[in-house]
Amino acid sequence: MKSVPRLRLNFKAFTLVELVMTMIVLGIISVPLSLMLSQQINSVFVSEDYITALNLARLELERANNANYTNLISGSNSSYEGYSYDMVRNVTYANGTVATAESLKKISVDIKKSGSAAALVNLVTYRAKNVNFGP
Amino acid sequence: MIKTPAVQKGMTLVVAILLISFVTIVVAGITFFIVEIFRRSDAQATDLQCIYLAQAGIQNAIYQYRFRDLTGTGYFNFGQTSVDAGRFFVVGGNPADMVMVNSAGAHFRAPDNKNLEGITMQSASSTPVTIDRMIVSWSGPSLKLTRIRIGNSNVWNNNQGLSSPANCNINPNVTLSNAVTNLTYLRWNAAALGMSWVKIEFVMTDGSTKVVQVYPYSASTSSFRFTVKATGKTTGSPIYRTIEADYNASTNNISRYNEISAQITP
Repeated sequence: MKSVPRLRLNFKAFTLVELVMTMIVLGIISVPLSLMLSQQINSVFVSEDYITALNLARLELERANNANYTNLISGSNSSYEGYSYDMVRNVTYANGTVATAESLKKISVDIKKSGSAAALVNLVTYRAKNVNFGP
Repeated sequence: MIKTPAVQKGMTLVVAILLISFVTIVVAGITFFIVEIFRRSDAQATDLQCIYLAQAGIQNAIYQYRFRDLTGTGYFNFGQTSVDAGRFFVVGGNPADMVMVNSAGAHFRAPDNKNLEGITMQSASSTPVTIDRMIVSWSGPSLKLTRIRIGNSNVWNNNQGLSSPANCNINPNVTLSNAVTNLTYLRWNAAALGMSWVKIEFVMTDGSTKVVQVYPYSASTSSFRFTVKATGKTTGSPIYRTIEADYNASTNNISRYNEISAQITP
């Protein structure tokens, strides 16, 4: 009869200490864990943006590859292809000029999230004048 | 009733630690997968950039060739070129790829019609290439090849002659630069007027080969072409992609454009 209340008392006391300790441990661990988790959730969205931007950059470069060489000039397009991304195409002469018989254009394509100044993706290539595909 | 509370001593802490361990493992697992997704996205972007850099290399080589061809014979340089910070391409090709043969003026010389002449050769790059052997085969009459003369030197002679295909180990070896070299003539032992085509396989000193078909009765210049290879790369990444293209200098067209697995190094 005497031992029952003593055990109960001990149990209650340990539970309080344990709860305090658990809260402290949880508090210490949950801060970095929650930060990591929120970063991961954000990363999923960033990764999605990145892949979309990459595909839009590829689309633009393929268009540049198939465009008439003379008409291949710098330009930009907001809400490119209906997506909330902006496209900036920068065309410069790597060799030669508009007046020379032969020239080489450098085509650089930036894809940015609409309203953002930083490019998510940048792809670059060259195209030579008077060179076509055929037999 | 008495033992149960005693056993439960410390259970909250144990459960909490187990819970924390479980959550940590789950978060670590998710982190691993998300890092993998990022790595793949990044590799995909680098991979895509490399193919466009390889394209830049091909276009740059053809531009160089065409630009120099305006004032002399066209050629391009092997090696690495930066497109911008951290992005570059490397242009190359094996010696046989560089052999360009212009057979537009090929004909049998009258009056004996034994000599096939009017063929010129050059290297498409600034790097000279050396011909070690020529394997010549031909259609029609069962004639014998007796002599090959290149750049006004007899590089192969055989008084008895060889039947088709004639494997001719030329001596001295012929080095082609980007300047034009005359394949002065191929001589047979009798008139070769019935010969509709002549096939020449150039075997270079490195063992690479190029086959050229000459049509003496048509102005076909199908062999006036070169093959160029370019690898696109970004600094700090092992990822690369390589394109191989045939450029037909007679038609100004890229007649073949393939991706290959080899890496061209400077």
